[in-house]
Parts: sequence; structure tokens; C-alpha cells
Amino acid sequence: MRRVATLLLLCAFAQPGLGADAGALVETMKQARLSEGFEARMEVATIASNGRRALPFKLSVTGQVGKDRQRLRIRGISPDKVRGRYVAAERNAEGRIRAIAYDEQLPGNIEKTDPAARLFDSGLVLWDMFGAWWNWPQQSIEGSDKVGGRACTLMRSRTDDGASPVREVLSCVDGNAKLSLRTQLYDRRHTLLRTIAVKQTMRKESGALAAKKLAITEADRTVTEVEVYSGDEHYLVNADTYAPLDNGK
Amino acid sequence: MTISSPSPQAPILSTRNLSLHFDEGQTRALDGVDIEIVEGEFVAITGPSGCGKSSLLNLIGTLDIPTSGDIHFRSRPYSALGDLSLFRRENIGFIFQSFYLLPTLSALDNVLVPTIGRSGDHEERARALLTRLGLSNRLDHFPGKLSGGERQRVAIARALINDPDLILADEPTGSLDSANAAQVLDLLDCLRREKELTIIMVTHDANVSARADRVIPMRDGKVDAEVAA
Amino acid sequence: MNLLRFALDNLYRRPARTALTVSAISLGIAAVVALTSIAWGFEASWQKANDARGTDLIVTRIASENTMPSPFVAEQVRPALSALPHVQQVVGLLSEMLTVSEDAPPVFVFGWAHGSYLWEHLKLKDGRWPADDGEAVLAIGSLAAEMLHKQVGDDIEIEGRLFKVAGIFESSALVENGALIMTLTQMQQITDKPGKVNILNIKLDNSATDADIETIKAQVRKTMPGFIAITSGELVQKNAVVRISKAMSNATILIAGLVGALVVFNTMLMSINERTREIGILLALGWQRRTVIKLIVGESVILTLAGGAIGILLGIAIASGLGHLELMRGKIDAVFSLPFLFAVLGLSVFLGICGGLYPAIKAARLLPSQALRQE
Repeated sequence: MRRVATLLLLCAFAQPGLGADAGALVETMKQARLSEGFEARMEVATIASNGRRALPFKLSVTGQVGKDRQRLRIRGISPDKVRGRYVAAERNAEGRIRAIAYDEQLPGNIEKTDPAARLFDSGLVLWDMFGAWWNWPQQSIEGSDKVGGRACTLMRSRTDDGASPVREVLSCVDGNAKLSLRTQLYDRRHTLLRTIAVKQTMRKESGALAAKKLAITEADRTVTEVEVYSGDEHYLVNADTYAPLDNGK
Repeated sequence: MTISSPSPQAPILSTRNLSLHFDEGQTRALDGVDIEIVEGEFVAITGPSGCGKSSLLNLIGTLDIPTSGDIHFRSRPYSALGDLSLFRRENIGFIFQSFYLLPTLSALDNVLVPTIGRSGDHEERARALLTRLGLSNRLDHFPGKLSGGERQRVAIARALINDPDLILADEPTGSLDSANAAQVLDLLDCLRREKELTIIMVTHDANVSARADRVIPMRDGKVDAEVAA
Repeated sequence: MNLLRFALDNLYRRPARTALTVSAISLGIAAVVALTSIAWGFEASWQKANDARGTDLIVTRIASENTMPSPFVAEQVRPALSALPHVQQVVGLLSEMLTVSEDAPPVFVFGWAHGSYLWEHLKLKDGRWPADDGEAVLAIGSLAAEMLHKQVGDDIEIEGRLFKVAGIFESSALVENGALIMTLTQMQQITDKPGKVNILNIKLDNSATDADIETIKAQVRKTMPGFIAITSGELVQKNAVVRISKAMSNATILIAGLVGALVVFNTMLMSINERTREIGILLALGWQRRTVIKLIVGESVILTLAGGAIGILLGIAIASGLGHLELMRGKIDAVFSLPFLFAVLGLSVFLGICGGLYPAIKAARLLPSQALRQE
């Protein structure tokens, strides 16, 4: 089923009105991200800068996005390298992200992990999926640009938080599509860490667009292609879904 | 639409003040031609090229329409004929300098082309005609495989297949060597007597026109009165 | 010697020109035939899948611009649907298109409620059906078995879980022949959609009339907001992929038709133009204009009949050939309807007559002396 939920957390949504200021844009963006539960299954393929393709793997991402709390759980589907491996993370009201990793085969063995780390040797990063930059205090509109022939509004988000792995984010938001077509993340020395670009979109039940295909380009020119092939916009989060996260407190 | 009742010495064809102009009168291919041709006559129209002799033949053959004047065939004006193609098929046989045979058809089929659309079986007559013209062993040959003289004889057979009374020949020997030319002229002469044909032939060759009963010389779109007299 | 033989001789004795014309026409016609039959086959195979199941009505979420309806919790609407008059069974179905092998394109994986009427129309060729709701086994279509090189007893990994092939079946619908089928419960588990379905299939009792179907549709519209009840034919009509492929095939038919018409028209125009003197000769020999026009049109009809017939055979060969390519396996089930093929042949001849008529009339209107002067 192609009609799937979303890469809600991989891409930012916004609905800027004409002439809306940065604050309003950010606010609608945060609103659009809210979800009581979603699931997206995706195939991830990494291509190194020398052109070598790693064996693609499948992931399931489930999540809940509330005003104060966001939770995510990533499950490796196949092949053996990722099967049964989980990464779960939570972002609290203060903006701190706590991540754990565990394996279906080794119950009870729960380890803390770095939310800014690359997932399963790919360009996917848990930290990016939380879209934390929409909560930063410094937001400004920097003009407009075009990505893949579509016009979008350039938004700059900044933070002075020394603990944040990313200090500045430049997004190009398509107002009508409610989707950031291109997201560039910079560190404190203003070095580009990676660029997340939307290659193909699909329509959600709400009418907004979500990314169906993404390309993540890292500083060393490794490209990670992500394609959502299935999912559910109304995923039923049950007691077990985030149990290890709750137990690990 | 056979217009019959041939009586000797009566004119089969006459033209009255016949003119053919091009470019709104700038060029006068024919300019007031009056001629009369009697049944069974063999007439040669001669003159230098561009004198209008071919234009006159085309008008007589209804291949062209005069600017003014009229032609009478057995006292009936062309303007009253109606369907000219039907008149042409029934009464006139054409022979051209470059034969105009159809390359996709055999000699026999070429002779049969004018009968297409007519009822009846004409194949026997076509064979007989070609045999009469000395082509009995060439029936299934295509024009590309025939000599010039043979091709013109096929064209003569084709001109005769619908039993016309009037044969119009435009330089029929122009593309042939003298031996073949003489043969074609002999044949035309014999056929004329056999079938009581009237022949109007355009030629610039004095040897050819010498065989005609009468010569109509032309110059600048008119009958050259001085030479005619 | 008659007109038909004359026309045939003209074509036969100019083999290069005739062959070129016929091949140009046949390529245009082949494109029309192949593209149309593939588009129709695609549409028909979806409909067949639903018809074969014996499904009278389908209840699904209202969704637009999607290739498949989105999943929903079956129990939200199932009790209410079961209570409607004439409803015999309400059966959940969950489907996804998934990659199950590195070397094969994605296949349809269906989850069907165990013991429901959906299974009844399948013909078991080998093995057995899943024994119960909880058994992690597959029944796979014969085409899927061929494409994935799987037999009864083999394992297939679907979304990280291993399933044993319990049986191989045959279905009249191509979509199902290329699909893997498991029980609904298993499908819900592996896709992490407990209790959810894409579609509820409704089977009505034999006394239900078209009016009853309309009543049920209206009832669903009124009492189940967000849901829609449609017949399988309507579902196919709504399917975006079917709609897009139909639009594309219509556009292609139009373009192929236009190109074909241009080719035929141009070829005829050129060939008649170069034959103006021949027409002059025919007129000088006493042919009537309408006989000349008949000849040209006759030749056009022969050319386009031959080109059309060859084009149709070529089109059928292309469409069938594509269906056998590994890449297209199970996706193409071209439908060739006899009336359509005759219509295409008719179109070809019609275009030929139009293409031949204009230059023929033009040439025949010339004075014979003018036509003879043309080189």
C-alpha cells in the first residue's frame, strides 16, 4: 500500500500565510507535526562517495508527537544486520533527547545511545527526526528559493545551546505543500553537516504533502536514499510500544 | 457517345476561330485557327516548335479547353458534348511521342487500360490488335523490356482498342530511329485504310508530313496562309 | 483487366514504395493496439479480481489521489455493516505491495480473513491452504511462484519474518496470480496494523437487487462518515493508477492516431503527386475522373487494410511480448477485444481513404494537358 503515513519527523511542515512572520510560520509548523501515532516503513539505501552501494535495509518508524513530549521508536525489519534491532528516543519539554538501543534477541539488555549518531551505518539520524529546531528561539525568514522546480520560503533557525549537536538549520518550506523541501543542518563552526532533500511526495489524509522519497547527503558526500513504501497515519500506540523507554528511566 | 454517320467528303472536324491564350492573353498559343478535316483524311500539322501545333492537337483531343472559338465534331460543337472523357474514350485515340505506357503493366494490360470501366471482355481484341501490329510474342512483356518501336506499336494498339474514328498523333516517330519510324508510319497508313480512320498528326519532320494527304502549316499560333496556299 | 487488378498491379509492381507505406501504417496501428490493450487489460484485471471473489460491495475509507485506500480499524464499521439487510458476510482485507526478493519486483501481499468466502474462488494447484488464523504460512499465486522461484515448503521472507509456502493456487485474476496471500491476522501482525484492514468486502444474499445495493450505499454514506461503499467496478474506476494509465493510453492513442493519420496522408499525397502524369495519361485515354478517384482510393484501402492488419498482429505481438518480459511479469494482461481490433482496422482504412481522396480529387480536377505536362 502506497498510501502511507508519513515521514512526519523527517521533514518539517509549515503553513505560512502570505506575509506571515517567522513566528507564525514556526507555530503552524509545530502544529502540523502533531500526531497521536503514526508508522512509516521505509527502505534505506546508502551510496558511499566512491559510488559503492551498501545492501539496502528496511526500517519501521513509529512515533507520537505531543506538545510537550515526542517519542520515536525505530525497528529494523530486514536483512539480518538490522532485524530485531530497536532504537527508541524521547524528547521532553525542556528539549532534552534521551535515546536507548536494544535488541529483540537480548531482552533486558538496554543501552544508552547518542541521538546524534548515524543509524545502522546510514545518513539517518534520530536527532533530525525530532525537528528540534522548530522550538529554538531564533527564527528568521531569509527569502525564497526553488527546489526541484518548486518555490519555497527559506527559514533560518539558530540556537546558542552548547549541548546541541546542530546549531543552525536552513529549511526551504513549500507553504502550499506544508513541507520542507530541503533542510540543511550546520554545526557550531557553521560547517554543513548534511542536507535532507525531498525527491518525491505523497498526499496525506489532511491534504498536506509528505515526503515519499528523500535523499540525505552528508559532508563526506555519502548519500542515503530513503523511500517510504508503507505505513499508517493512525497507528495505534499500545502499552508495549515504548515500554523499554519508560522502564529505562 | 459515338457520333456517327460518316459520309465521305463531309467534314469530321472543323474549328471556328479557335484561340488558346495563357497569362491573361500575354501568350497566344493559338490565335484564331479555322481548319476543316474530312472523314478518312490523313492530315499533318507542321511548323517550328512553339507554333501552336501541339496546342491545336490538345484542343481537338479535348485535353485542353479553348479560350475562345469552338470545335465541331460531325457538326456537333464540343461545348455541347457534356462529359468530355466519355467522348474522348468513344471517338479519339491518342498516340504520344514518348509513348506514355504504364510501367507497372504488361503490353497486353496497357492496351486494355482504356477499357477499364467498360463492360465486356476486350482481351481477345487486344491480343488480335497486338498480333496485327507484330507483337504476338511480346504480350506479357513490360514496357521496360520493349524497344522504342515496340513501345509505340503497343501505344497504337492502345489507341485503337476502343474503335475510335479519329487518331491524334503527337510526333509519333519523334523518339524512333528512321527504320522504326518508317514501320510505324506504314502501320498507321495500313490501319487507316482498314479501319477507315481519320488521322491528325503533328510533326516537324518533312519526311513524315510527306506521307500525309494534306499538310496544314502553322506559324505563331495561326495557320500559315502563305505556305498553305 | 479491371480496376481492382490494375490497383493491385500498381502496388505489386512498386514493392519498395508499397512496403514503406504499409510499414509506416502498421507501426502507427501497432502502437494504438498495444497501448490500448495493455491499458484495458490493466483495468480489467483489477475488476476481475473483485468479480471473481464474489464481492458485491466494497467498503473503504474515502481517499483521493491515492493508489490504495488507507487502513482503518475493521470493528469500527463491521457490526453496523453486518446488520444491514441482505448482507451475508463482511470480510476484511489488508494488502500491501512489498519487496520480498532482491531479484524480483515488488509483489502484492494480501491478508484475507481465514475461512471467509474470499478463498473459495481460488483453485489450489499444489499443497494446502493455511490451517488456521494463526499459522504463519502463505498461499502463493502460480505466477508469483514462477517469478520468485518458490515451491511448496520453501520459505519467503516478508518484512523480516519467514513464511512457509503452504500452497500454490491459480486465480482467474492476474493480480491474484502474482500475489502472496496469508491470513488477515498474520498480515496485520507483520505490518503492525492490529485490527486494521484496507477494505471490507461485502457478500450479499441471492435475493439482493441493484436497488438493494443502492440502498446499502446510501446507508453507508449517511451513517458512516468518512467511509464509502462502492462496487468493484467503481473502485477500479477510482484507482489512481488505473485512471492515470487510462489517461496516458488515451493520450497515446490520440498521438498514435494523429501520427498514423499524418503518415498515411503524407504518404498518399506524395505518391499521388509523383503520379500526376500517370493520371493525365489515364484521363487522355478516356478515363472519367471518378474512375481515377476510385483507383486511388482503392489503392489506399488496400494499403491501409494490409498495414492495419499487419499493425494489429504486430501490436498484439508487442503487448504479449511485453507481458513475458521479466520486468513486466504479472503486470500486463493485455485485453484484445475483437470489436476494438475491427474498429482499429476501420480507423486505418478511414484514414487511408481520407489521405488518398484529397490528392486524388486534386489530380483528377486538373486538365489532362496540365497533368501530362507534370514531370
